[in-house]
Amino acid sequence: MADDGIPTWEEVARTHGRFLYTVAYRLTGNDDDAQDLVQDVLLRVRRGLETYRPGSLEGWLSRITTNAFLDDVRRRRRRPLDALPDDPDRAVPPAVAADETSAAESISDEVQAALTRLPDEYRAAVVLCDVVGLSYEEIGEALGIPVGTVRSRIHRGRRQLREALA
Amino acid sequence: MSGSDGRFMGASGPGDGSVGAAGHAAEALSALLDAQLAPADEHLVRAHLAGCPACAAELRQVEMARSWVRGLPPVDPPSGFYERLLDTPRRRRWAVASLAAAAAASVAFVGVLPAREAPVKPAVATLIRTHAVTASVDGDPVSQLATAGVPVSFRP
Repeated sequence: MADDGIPTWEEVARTHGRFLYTVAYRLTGNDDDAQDLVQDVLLRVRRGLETYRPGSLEGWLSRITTNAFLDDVRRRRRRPLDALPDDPDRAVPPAVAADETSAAESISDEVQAALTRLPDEYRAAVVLCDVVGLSYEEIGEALGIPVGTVRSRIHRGRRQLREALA
Repeated sequence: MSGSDGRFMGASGPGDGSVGAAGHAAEALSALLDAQLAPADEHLVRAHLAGCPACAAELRQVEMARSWVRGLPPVDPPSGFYERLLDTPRRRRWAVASLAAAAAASVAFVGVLPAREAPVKPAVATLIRTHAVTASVDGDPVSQLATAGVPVSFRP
């Protein structure tokens, strides 16, 4: 730890490397993007850009990771965030054809594939809830959205996952 | 990481309305699963569930999706990933050093290459003639036979 209590990026990598990579992988769905995302997170940690609140290093890291992920998504996306469809029955993007999924042998691969096809904001909420284990309130703080929106994104995300994997 | 231990879970729920306008629990169902409802709201939702097969079915659906994501295993980074990130300055020095060594080696190789391909001087024929002229007949039985035009045989 540095004098101010903020973990150095080396400490983060050594003690929470696997956790950090897991969150990055679940958000991005592939190794290349997960590696880029982790690098981005460690860079933010090193530059001291993120406010550290002692108590939950994993919560802090997952917040940085999710925001770095969503920043990147928004940079790539031309339309603004409020274009996110709010219709709960919004069509799920078509699933990968059967012959392509035969390569995905494990259930985990299929769940990850369905997760990756969720709208990014839904996926971020679901990952923070079910992979990291944050409360709705913590997720709302991390993403800068009201708790009611957290609840709705998690529920819709789960419904779409269930439909995709039916 | 999460799991059933719920150590990141907050104790208090959001406390806002939980039964939707259409009279169904809807999005409160996930919050119910996650223990994120205020006690009063949880009571309302459970009461609704008891008499609403549609919401009970939806609860089972999202519960399944929830368990799938929670069951995803941790993911290990590729071997040496963090080491490469953390050791970047040292590795860069090492890379520069080995690049310089490789460059020096290739220069040396290029320098040697034309010499190997250049004609040998003096020519092999000249060397043989010199050998034949200067070789000691007494000390060298092969030369002795060669100068005499006798086929060489190594059989005893």
